[in-house]
Amino acid sequence: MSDARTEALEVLRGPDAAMTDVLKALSTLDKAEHTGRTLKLGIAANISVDLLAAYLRRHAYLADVRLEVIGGSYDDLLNDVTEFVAQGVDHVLLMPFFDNLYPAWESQLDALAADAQQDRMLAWLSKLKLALDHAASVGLVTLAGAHLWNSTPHGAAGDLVFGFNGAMKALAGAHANAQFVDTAGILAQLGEKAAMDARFYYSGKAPYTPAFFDEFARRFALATRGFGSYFYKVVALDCDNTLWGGIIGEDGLSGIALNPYDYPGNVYWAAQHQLRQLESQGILLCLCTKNNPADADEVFAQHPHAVLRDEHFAAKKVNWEPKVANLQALAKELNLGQESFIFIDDSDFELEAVRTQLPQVKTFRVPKKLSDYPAMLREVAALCLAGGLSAESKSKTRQYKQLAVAAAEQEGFASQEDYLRSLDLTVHIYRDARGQIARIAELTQKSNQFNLTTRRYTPGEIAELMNRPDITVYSFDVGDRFGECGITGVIVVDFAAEHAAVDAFLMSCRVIGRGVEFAVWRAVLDDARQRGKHGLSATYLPTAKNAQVADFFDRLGLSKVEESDDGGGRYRTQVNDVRLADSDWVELIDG
Amino acid sequence: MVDPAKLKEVMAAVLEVDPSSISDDDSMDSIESWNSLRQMSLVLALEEAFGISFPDEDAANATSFKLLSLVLEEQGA
Repeated sequence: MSDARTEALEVLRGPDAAMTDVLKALSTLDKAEHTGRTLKLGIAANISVDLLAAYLRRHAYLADVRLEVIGGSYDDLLNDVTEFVAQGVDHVLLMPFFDNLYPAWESQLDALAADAQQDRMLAWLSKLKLALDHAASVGLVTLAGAHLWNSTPHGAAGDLVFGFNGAMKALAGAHANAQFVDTAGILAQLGEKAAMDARFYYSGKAPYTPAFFDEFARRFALATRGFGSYFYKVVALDCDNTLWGGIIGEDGLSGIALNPYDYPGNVYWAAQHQLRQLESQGILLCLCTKNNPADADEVFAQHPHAVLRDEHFAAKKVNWEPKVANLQALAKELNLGQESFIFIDDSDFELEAVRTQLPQVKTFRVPKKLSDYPAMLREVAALCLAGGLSAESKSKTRQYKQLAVAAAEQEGFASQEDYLRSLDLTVHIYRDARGQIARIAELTQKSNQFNLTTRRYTPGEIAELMNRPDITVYSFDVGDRFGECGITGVIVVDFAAEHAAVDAFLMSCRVIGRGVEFAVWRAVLDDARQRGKHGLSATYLPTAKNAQVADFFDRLGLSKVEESDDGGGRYRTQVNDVRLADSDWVELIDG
Repeated sequence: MVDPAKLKEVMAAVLEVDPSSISDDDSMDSIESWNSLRQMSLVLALEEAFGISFPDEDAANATSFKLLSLVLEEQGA
């Protein structure tokens, strides 16, 4: 059976697999044992999307996810969504086909008065808004953008579909669990003939070809980060023949290829712009390269055409150590797991070493055919950015820099506490802050190391918890004289029982070790007292990643009442007896 | 001459049945999973597998093993 499974996955991986072979492979995999995750997806559309389910399942299996697809009724958006919620789906896909929003909508637009067009579009959009409101408890809702049948539009239809997509994006932006994915680009990529099937559109409301669905499913997998199976945050880069052409140590500053004017310098120059763009969108860039530090520094400081400058790198390993060791050191320095890393190099030798020793790291080789390099970096960007980096992630590099500057200053203080006092640490703590739902959910999804229970919440689940009067979702930001860190931690406390119970406590690793992790509990204890609770109970659930907090509740000042075989612990403490660990240098402010 | 085994293989994959269970007399009426939605997928899969194109009217109406064989034959598969 496992041979059949491997073979079937091989078929699904092949870019040119025939539809019959894809369907057969899916059927094989459905019968085989599945050890990965299983997710449920509901699709609401105003067209027939029977085949889309097959292609979505193809790309889900490639991410080791078994996807169960529930098709809605034809053109019944609100009832579909209600039904999906009742069935407990993880994802919802809403796919409005523009020409069928109203019968032959695209064709009749030019004949309709502008206000009549607007009225109908608004009516449809308000239905969509209601559907999104209904779906607030679903983990992720994806809105497929609209496009015209005619891929080179002119006149009223072009303007209207542009406005319609703009409105959908705005609606997605206003719902913490919603994202927008483009479809017009698929039409442009495949061409109308390959993407669309007029025959089945007019006879059976099935306008799309298998090729369109396959490409849509591929993009859907990207937008959902492989159905939630990866989350890349760091791009580690080699230098010679990766960020410029040639070898700086031999060719010198004027000899390397990096410029806007001619080949191959212009390819590297374009590549640097693409990487710079990634950095501005919150992805951390690092150097992991075998060079003399002074040589590399000279390029970033002095080269007239360098786009990437020293300040764009969150951390650097420029030395002659093995790259595997350097990648491990970078992960440690940034407090991130190796599975957050993408590594780009031009050397098969280096890449192979990383692939075999650090298989969690995703590797890319600078293409031998150098003109393909920008396309490869677009692929890297698609993997990193997906749909949902929240705005706050954008200033990440700056925050990690603050950490580095703070670390350098630390050496001048007599004691750790002196140093912490000098920081003027302030923490704003928020209770059930609805404006932060997306960020809170993102933190619960991403935090592995400082996470006591490792419970993952979707934006919908966070919203539901906030709705409950007996549960409080705390979130907090941390600021010091170097800057603000933004929302970096979450506590979920259930006050329903006699003992207030801590369901979750997690923090981003970049603020650990300053007493913040202790200070925030003052607010929880205050709330517990106000609600007349006598005790506080908490649990540590061990995972492969969170050993560093195994004794956190002990250090905080709670009493362990039970220890399990796997190293987990249950804690219970009288609210009035508890003496919290010192953190009086942290000012706690109700947000 | 259309290879009946190949036709049945495609039908089986799309209709999610065992290829050996499909007889020459089967049609939309006798195979439960064969509905009008599956008919469209079936035509798309056959067009790809045999490298031909179904005329509009046949795409909707060729709903039995024999009719599908006939259309494939006519289109030079």
